[in-house]
Amino acid sequence: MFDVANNTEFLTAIGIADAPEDVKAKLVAGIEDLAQKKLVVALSDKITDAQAEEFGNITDEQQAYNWLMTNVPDFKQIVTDIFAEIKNDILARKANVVGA
Amino acid sequence: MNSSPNKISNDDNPGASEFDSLTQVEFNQENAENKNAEQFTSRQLERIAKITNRQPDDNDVITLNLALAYRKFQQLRAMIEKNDRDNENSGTKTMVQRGVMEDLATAKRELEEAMYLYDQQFAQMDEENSRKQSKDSYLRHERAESGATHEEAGDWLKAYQARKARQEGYEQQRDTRAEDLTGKLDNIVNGVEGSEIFKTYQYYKDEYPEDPIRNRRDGFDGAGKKGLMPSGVYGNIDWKLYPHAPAERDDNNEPNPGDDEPTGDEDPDKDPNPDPDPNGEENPDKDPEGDGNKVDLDVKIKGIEQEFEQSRKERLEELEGKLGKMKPELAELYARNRRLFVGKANRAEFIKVQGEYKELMDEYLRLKGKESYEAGKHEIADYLEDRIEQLTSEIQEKLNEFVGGDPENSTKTQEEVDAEKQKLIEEAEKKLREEYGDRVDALKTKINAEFVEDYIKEASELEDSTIDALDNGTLCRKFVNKVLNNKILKGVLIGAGIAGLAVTGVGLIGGLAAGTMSIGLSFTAGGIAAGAAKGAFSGALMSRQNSKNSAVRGFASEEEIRKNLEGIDITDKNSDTANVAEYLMSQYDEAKNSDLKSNRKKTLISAGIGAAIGALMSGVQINNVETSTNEVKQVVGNEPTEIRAANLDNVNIPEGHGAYDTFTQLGGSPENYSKFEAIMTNLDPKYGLAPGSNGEVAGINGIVGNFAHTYPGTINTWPDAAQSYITEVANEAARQGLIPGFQTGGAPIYNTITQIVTKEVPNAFMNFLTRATATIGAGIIGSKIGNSETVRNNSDTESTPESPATEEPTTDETEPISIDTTPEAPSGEAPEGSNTEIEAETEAEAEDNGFEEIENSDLYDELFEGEETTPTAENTPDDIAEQINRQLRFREQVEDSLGNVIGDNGVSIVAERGTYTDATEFANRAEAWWNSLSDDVKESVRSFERSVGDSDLGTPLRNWLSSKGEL
Repeated sequence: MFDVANNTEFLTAIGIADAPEDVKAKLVAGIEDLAQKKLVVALSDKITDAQAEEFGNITDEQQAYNWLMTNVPDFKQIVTDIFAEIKNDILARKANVVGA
Repeated sequence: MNSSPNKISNDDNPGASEFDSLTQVEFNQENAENKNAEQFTSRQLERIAKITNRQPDDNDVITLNLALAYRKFQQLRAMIEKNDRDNENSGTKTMVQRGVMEDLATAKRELEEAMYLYDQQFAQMDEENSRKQSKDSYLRHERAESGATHEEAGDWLKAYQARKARQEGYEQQRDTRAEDLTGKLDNIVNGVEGSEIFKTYQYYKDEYPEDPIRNRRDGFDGAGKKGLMPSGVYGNIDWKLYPHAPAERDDNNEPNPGDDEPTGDEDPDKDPNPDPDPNGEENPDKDPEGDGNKVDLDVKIKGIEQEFEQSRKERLEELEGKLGKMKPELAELYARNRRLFVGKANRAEFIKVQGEYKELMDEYLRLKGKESYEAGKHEIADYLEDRIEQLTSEIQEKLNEFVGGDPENSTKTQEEVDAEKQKLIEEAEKKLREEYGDRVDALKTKINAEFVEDYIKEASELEDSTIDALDNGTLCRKFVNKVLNNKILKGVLIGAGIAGLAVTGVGLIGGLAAGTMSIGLSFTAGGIAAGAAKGAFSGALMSRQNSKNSAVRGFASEEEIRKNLEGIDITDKNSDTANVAEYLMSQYDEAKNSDLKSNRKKTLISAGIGAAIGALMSGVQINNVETSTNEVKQVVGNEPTEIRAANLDNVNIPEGHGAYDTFTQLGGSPENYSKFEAIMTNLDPKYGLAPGSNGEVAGINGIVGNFAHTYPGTINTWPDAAQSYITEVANEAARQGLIPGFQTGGAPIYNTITQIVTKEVPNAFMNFLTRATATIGAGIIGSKIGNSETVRNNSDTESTPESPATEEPTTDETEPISIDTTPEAPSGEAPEGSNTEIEAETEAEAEDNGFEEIENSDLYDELFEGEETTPTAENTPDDIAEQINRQLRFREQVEDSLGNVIGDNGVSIVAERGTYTDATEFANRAEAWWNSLSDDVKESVRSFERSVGDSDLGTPLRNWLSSKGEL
């Protein structure tokens, strides 16, 4: 999700840009999935139950995307924040491990 | 006498009704040819396990299976009891339809199987009885019947009486237990329906649709079966439940032992305590390899795929028979239901769980209610795409081996690598042809056929939206389309996978194998660049597949992702790789405890995100770069919609069956049959029938006959009035959601106004355009010149192999390019290099992308015969490069000016896919933008717009310019 695989800056920041391709792909998949989970949680706090019903019943890609853009104006910021959080958590963890 | 331990023989149960055979294992085994019936319980357990992310032998899964089976049985029983009450109240004697009875018998059998699995005491009692039977002294007295002495006869009689008593005791014990369990079923079901596993099941069950009960009937033919009256309807029903083991399929196709045949269990010399698991299947060595049961996912997938491949071939042959029909558009439905097929591993495993592929396809069709034609066409394209991907991956691996796993330090020359690649490509295509034969050619010749367009469109949706996200993607696409004038090659631009349908001299395989950027880049001219041995393609594929998997449902891929993460080497705790892997694992543990699945709101959100995943993949840049849009359309209305029944043509009523079977064949569930009846009741007067006759009255008014007896067969064989009746009934049922239906019309009506251009990272576009279109352009160049050697020669002489720095693209080639249209931005400088630089890269890349083979390609001729391939009359490399440069220069100016005009007012985002909020305002802005352009820029725009011609994406800017008289 959000094309982590091609975001060199992000991958470099968390230190896996030069990892073996197969390993990198696995990690990217994990990050994407985690980001999606966090996004779900974040959106859950932002939209009402009725909105969730509406959104959850959309099956068309365009409509779903447009719905997000329309009903969650700060969607992109949410996504940016999530990835920033993941990046910071990873870096913090690394600092702890190295420190230990 | 049938002495199988799981059977309750009538002979030993003198109190049994003559209808007891309907509920017993031996009856099921008599219908062993009905595989659906036999294996349903085990498949249902697998299905529930998949839905709830548990194991099939999990106690909760078994309990849920019991609850579901009981509910289904109750629903059908309720229909019969209602019929009995109605008869009692009206004084009539209307028989329950045969289809209902057959479904009831099926539901009863499955409930009994579920009860058996739920309470292990039944199995233990049966096993004990069987063991005792085998040691029965009565058996040794068989021969005493003739020529026996008085004493021997007496001994035999005693033994027989002892056996009979023991058997009766066993059966009494069993019956008592069955009655106890029957009495508890309501409580068990009530408990399940409040549980977490039930909620999870309810949310995800549609992703693994259940086999319709009508497909699992026990095959009553109405003749000679106990309990059935001559009319084929049951005269009596035994509501008592007899738990028994799920019927097993006899793979040897040997008839089951009859009542009079010895089974070997009666052999007094046989081990009375035989090993119940002689093959060690029930209690296998839990860790035979001694490696902690580490799962090799690739091997597992391969095995599944081999099975899948075989049945898929059979399926192909069946589908091909239908290719001649013209059917309604299915692309939308197929795209939605593609979730069922997403991901190689998931799909293969799903199919394995579901049994043979045909069954899955039938269920898919039933679920979505459409003829298989369009889906079949997509299937064929899918098969080939998958196979091409597989073969491509194999080619990559072999090439990696060929260069010794280290392309940077390999002793192989470029020519040797190219020769090896060519050989592998040819072998792969040969293999593809052996497997798919003429289908390969059929696909090639149908490049412009509708289904391939659909396939390309659908399969490349992600990539299309990626183009949209680029700076002025529409201009890019227009340019490409004009240069290529072929939709298939657009697919080559777009990226991996679909590119397999592109042009090469070796056909399909070459196009994919060479066209996939990650493979191509690995062996650029002038040196074997790094990246070849890194499995870029497989890694990218995994990322893409997993992204798709995430789209199926929010957490569907977690199991695979976890397995993949667990497989990463984290020995070096200080490594970044280990850090990230362990971080992700810790997050999964937390997520597992957060009970996400049971929260309906979150589940809905996850579903919505899944639907938007394609657009999100390409539309959102993490670093706050605004997405771009390319088209502006205003929705001015919608076509009228209508819901119609989907399965009407498929209904085929066997003799003796009636409206219930019509309903279930239309895709309805038994519990909704009463609503269907209500629709018929409502419509009866319109057709001159008495309300409530529901078409059941034989031959009334000569309009509609008795469903049950008069019109067996397909609906199209019925009289016109009867067809009209059932069509109207079915469409109303579809409208009410009782049966699958499809929506006609409803498409938005657009009014294309103008074009907008938004901000974008210039370098990304430049890089994309340089890499992709230059490559394609060079390929065309090579072909049109008619001498691919020229391309190679040019690369040898002009592209100085001694200076690889000049030849390599400005992006870092060590990075895998999983989606070729979104390469990383170069280090801040736009590669506004000289034409020479672009040319060098062009030729180098052309060589690797297989376009050197174009010259002799029949396919190329077929595609480009009589068509322009470049915007200008000249087809020289210089012209193409100049075109590209001109567009690049033009692009800069346009984005500077129009970008400032349009700005980031949010319109661009909303309008990405077609809805613009204020057409007038935008038109005004576009007007202002046009007026702000210098004359030469305006001329560039005019020239370009004149040259690109029509495309399937619409030409808003050109239309606007035309309306202004500018073209």
